Amino acid sequence: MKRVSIYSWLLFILILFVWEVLAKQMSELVLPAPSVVVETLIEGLMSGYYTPHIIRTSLEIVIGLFLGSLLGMLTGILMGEVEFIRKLLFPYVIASQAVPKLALAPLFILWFGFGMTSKVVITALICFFPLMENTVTAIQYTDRQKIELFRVLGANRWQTLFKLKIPAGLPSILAGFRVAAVLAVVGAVVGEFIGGSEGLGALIIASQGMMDTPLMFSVLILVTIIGTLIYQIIYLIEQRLFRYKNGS
Amino acid sequence: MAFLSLQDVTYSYANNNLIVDAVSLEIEKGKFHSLLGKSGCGKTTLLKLAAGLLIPETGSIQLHGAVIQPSEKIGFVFQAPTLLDWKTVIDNVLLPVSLKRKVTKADVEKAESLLALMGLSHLKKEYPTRLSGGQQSRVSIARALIQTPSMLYLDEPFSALDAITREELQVDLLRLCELHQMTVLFVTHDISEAVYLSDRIAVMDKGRIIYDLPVSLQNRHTPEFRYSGQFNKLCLEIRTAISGGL
Repeated sequence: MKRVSIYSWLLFILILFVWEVLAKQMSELVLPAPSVVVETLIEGLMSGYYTPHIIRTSLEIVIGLFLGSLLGMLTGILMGEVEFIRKLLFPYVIASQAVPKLALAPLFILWFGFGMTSKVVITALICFFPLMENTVTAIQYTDRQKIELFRVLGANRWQTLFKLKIPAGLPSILAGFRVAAVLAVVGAVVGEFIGGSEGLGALIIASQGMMDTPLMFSVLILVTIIGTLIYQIIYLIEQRLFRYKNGS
Repeated sequence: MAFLSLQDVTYSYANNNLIVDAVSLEIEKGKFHSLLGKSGCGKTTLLKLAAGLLIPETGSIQLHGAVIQPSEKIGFVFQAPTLLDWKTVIDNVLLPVSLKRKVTKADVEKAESLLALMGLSHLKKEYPTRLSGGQQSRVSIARALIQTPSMLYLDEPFSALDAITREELQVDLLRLCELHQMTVLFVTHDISEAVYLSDRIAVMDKGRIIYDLPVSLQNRHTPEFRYSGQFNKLCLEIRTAISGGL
C-alpha cells in the first residue's frame, strides 16, 4: 500500500509537469501554468484577499450541510418509522428528486435575496435528499431478527428506534452525509455563481469577467481544498464512530 | 399442570397457507423439549408463537398459567447470534437489563460470571466482529440467560457451526439449563442434536406434530451416549418418523 501511495504522488508530479509544459505553449488566458497559479494563490492568501470569500463559502457550506442533513435525517427517520407518513410523502419525494435542484437557484435568489440565506437554502436542499433517502432505507430495512429480539425483550417503539434502528443504520446514514458534504460545496458555489458579491463562487465569476484565469484556477484549488477537508473530517468521524467494525 | 401449554394453535401467513395446523403441546417444568423437522415444516413459526412473538389465529398459549407475552421470564436465542455490532460483548449480554432499567454492579457481575461459564471472560471488552461464530453464539446464549428466565426458546442456534463447536455448545447449554432449572423449547433439524439434548422430541411435518418421542434414558448426557447403540436406535426411529414410516 505504501508503494501505491508513492506512485500516486509520482503521478501528481507528472501531471503538474505535463501541465507546466503544455501551459508554456499557450496563452495564460487559456491555461495558466501551475507555477503561475500557485504564485497567485499564495499572493492572495498572504494579502488576505481570499479570506472573506473563504469564510463566506465555508459558512454557507457548513450551515447548509448541517440544516439540510438534520432535516433530511429527521424526515428519513419519520418516513422510515411511520408507514402512513412514508406512503403520504413518497410520491412527492420522487417528484422532487426529479427536479434539478440547481435549476431552482434563481428562484431562491428571488425569494431570499442576494445574501447568504439563499445560498444556505440551496445548499441545504441539495444535502437534504441523500440523507433522507439513506435514512429511510436504513430505518426500514433493519435486520428483522434484531427487531424480533427487541420485541422479545419487551422494548418499546422508542427504544427500538434509538437503541437499534438508528445505531444499526448509522453507517448508511453517514454514507449519505458524505455524499451530502460533496454536494454542499457544489450547492454553495453554484448559488454564488448566480447571485452574490462575496464567496468563492462569486470570485470565479468575477475572475471570468476580468479575464484573470490564474485567479480562477487558484479559487478552484481553494474550493477543492475546502471540499476535501470537509470530506476528510467526516471520514475521521466515521472511523472513530465505527471502530467496532475493525473490532478494536 | 404443564409449565408451557399450547392448545389447538393455528397460524397462517397472508396467502392463507396454513403454517401451524391445530398444534397442542405441553412442556413440564425443567424439561428440555425439541421440535424437529425439515425446513418449512412450521417449527420456527411454532416456536415464535410459543414465545409470544406471533399471535395465533386460533387456540391459546399459556406460560405458567398466564397468556404468553414478552417478559423477563422468557429468553430467546435466534438462529443468527443477532449481536449488536456497536456494543462490546459484555454490553450485549447486559442488553436485556439495560432496556428495562439502569445496569447495576450486580448485573455486571452476573454477566461476567455467565461469560466465565461460557469461557469468554477474556473477550468481554471486544466487539462481536472480532469473535468467531461459536463465540458469538455463546454470547447470544449468555444474553438470553442474563435475566435468569424460567423458559428458554432456541431457534436452531448451532446450525451454522462446525460439528466440534456444536458439540461443545450443546454440553455448555445443558450445563446451564440444569444449573438454572430452565424449561427449554429447542428447534432443530439435526436428529442427533435433538436426541442428545432432549427429554422429549416432537417431530413436525406440514404444520402438525406427527410424532412424539420421550427420551428417558440414564446417562444420556455423556459423550459416550452419542456413539451408543441406543442413541442410534432413537435416531433411526426419528428418521423413520420424518420419512412418514411410523
